[in-house]
Amino acid sequence: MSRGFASNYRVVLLATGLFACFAGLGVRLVRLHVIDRDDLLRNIVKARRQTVRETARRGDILDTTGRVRLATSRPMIVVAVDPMLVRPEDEAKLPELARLLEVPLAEVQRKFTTKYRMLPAGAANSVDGKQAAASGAAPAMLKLDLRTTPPAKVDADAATDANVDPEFARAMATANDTPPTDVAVTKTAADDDDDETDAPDKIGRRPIRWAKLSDRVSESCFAEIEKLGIRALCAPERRYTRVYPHDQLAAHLVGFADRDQHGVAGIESFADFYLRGQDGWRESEKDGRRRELAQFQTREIPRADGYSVVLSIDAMVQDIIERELQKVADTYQPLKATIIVSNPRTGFLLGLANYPTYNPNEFNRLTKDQMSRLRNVAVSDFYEPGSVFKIVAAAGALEEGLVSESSAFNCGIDRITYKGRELHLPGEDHKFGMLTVAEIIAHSSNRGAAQLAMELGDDRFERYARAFGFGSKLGFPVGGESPGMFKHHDKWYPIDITRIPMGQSIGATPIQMHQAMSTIANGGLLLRPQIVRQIRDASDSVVYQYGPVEIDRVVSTQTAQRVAHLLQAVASSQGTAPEAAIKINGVDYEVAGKTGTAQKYMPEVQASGRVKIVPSRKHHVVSFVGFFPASRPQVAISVVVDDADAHCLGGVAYGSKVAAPVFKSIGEKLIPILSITPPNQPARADFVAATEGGRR
Amino acid sequence: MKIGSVHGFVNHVLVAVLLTIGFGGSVGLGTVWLRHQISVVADNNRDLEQRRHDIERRIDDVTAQVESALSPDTLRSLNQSMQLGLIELSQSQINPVSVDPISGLVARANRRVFQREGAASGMSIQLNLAPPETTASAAPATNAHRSASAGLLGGLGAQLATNP
Repeated sequence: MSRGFASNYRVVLLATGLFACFAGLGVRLVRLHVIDRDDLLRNIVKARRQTVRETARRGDILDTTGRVRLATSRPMIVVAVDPMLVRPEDEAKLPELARLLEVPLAEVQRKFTTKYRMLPAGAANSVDGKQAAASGAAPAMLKLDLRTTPPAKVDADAATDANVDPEFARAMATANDTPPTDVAVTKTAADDDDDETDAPDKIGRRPIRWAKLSDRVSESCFAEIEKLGIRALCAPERRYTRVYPHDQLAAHLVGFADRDQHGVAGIESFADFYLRGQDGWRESEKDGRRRELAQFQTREIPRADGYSVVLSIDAMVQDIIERELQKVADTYQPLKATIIVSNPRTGFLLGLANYPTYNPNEFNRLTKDQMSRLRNVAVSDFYEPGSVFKIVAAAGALEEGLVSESSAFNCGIDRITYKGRELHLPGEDHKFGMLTVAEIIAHSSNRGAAQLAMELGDDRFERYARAFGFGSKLGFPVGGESPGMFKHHDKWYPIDITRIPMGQSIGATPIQMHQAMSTIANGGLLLRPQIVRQIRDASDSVVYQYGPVEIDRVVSTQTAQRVAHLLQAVASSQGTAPEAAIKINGVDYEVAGKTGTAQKYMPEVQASGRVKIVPSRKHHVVSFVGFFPASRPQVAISVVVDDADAHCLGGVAYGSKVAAPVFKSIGEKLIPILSITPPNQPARADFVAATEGGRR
Repeated sequence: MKIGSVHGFVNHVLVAVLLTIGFGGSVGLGTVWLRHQISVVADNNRDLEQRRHDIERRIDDVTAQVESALSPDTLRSLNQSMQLGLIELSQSQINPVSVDPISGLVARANRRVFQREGAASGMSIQLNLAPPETTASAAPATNAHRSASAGLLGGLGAQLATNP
């Protein structure tokens, strides 16, 4: 071999140089990878590591058809600005930005130009709720604690009427007038409109690096904003906002969720566990421009969207009853009113509406005076049901075989001896003589009902009343259900056996009275009132199905049918509420029901100047509770109107004049929607033909 | 090449170093290319995932808008502002049909066929068949047609009479 291109000296020098380079490289590598490894890694992890959070979508709340979303989650983008990056040329774009954001221009300009925040003394190292309050920012989140406050104290000297239980009168006069909620307004830094700031500078001010412009920007609107090319805008933060597309429709049942997507009231609160879902997250690294380096993802937990809740509420039925309720409100301007519609065979509610109501989209705009609107009075408030309660005495006496429909009682007497004591019987609206049990129900005789209860006796009468669901909670899932007020018979006044059968001296919630009537419609079986039908996952598969829940068998099927037959007479021309009868094209839909007109306990100033709580002659709670068709009940409807007297003829409201027509109007509208067939026609909901009038 | 000589050894070392550099460079380039491909695929996956999320969000957005547009109050106000004159459904506008409408429609179609063929051939066709169980009593004028068609559907026989 030749000596090649190099002399010995050159070859050795080249080899030495190469080895030296490799050795230097090796030393450097050892230093980087072994000696300084921990420090370097720490810095890299700090600079490049990031955890990206994926917000789970809160599930929808659907009506019974599964097609109408009563509550849904709408994607929104939080748009913020970094004032430190604002360029002079951006100022010309602010009017357009303000227009797109629907925010006053002055506010946008203020956010763009306010670059520092002066911190108050002693608060330099904390950005907390106190600081937020000091900044004067508007409350960003209302956390409502829906707890019923204890009844307010009423003058102990009140209610000295001999026929009135003073304790009961005080409770009735105050219980439903208490504020419904304690509103605890809390604010957290995360929810606030606060700006994110860096460390304070030498003169104690912090540079603002993130100032929120709007948190309700839609995707389409954000696309327009991006076209403006404002560099100072921060990276968009995508999140979901809870919206209620139908505004106040079923507001008291659906409830609402706060800005943190936590259910606060209604189904939003009850089914929060199913609705809320599970946020996902992933660990990865980012480059110098803060872009995610997808290849360095290490751990990833996918988000799990919330389940959807299908209610038994039918949006069409709900809309009908809410419009009827609005008509009642416009006509009579009552203190409050409630309408409940359900399927008596299953206990599932088809609609429930209260007046006054609210818009869950704007729950945080309610003033303190308007907080009572949040209360679901159908389940949380109790009232004296009045004559509707007579079904208890009638059903009990028939069930025990003590009387038959034709058994007669003297309803013309005003005193009666019971357990060795002479008791005053309650007054009647009309003079009656001998009345059969059927006539007692049809004419709503107070004295007749009292005598039916006396046939049963205190113990058995109370047992039947409790079996019908009075005095205890029925297990309704939302609205803060009240058990009502029903004392043990040991604590009754002697006169109570004459008053309770006609629906006085007892406090019942509208839902209790509705379920009691539904028990008659359902062949004597008391069912739990329910509104949740199904839980569905994100792929629309049914996770859980709710079915009817039996609470108790109250009376036999035969007795229930007999009582239903008696109640049919109420809506006849001989009864107290012919206004409730439904006849279409000559077909009678066999309405069975009962009117109720109960005096309210109101404070009244006596001549002596003392305030007494007495049953008022000018303030009534009127109701009509019924179902149809009586021979094959398909729907139960309750209408309860509180204090409609001021706008009634003669200044007195009656169940037959105020509530019964509403019952009829609702019933007529429900017949085609629920495919309710006439009593003597086989149920065939599938074949119907519309006439010309239906297609105008 | 003499391995034992210094030059030979140096040349071997140089060749080995060059080969190592070449091989190492190739491996390094390959690794870089591989990692680049991994990052490209990961970025594509991320972009696809992002697009999927964006589409889902847009669907949610549109769904919420559609739901608002379909709310009863909105529809009522549209009905009023556009003067559509749509009215609420009431039971008085509905005629319950007590018989099976399918058999009625079939009867009418068969009646037309028989009338047309009878007129063409000069024959009258009289069907005398038992009505099916599902058919309810109806007016005598239409009963024959209904029972005939229903009978035909049931595969029953028919009696034909020829007019002179």
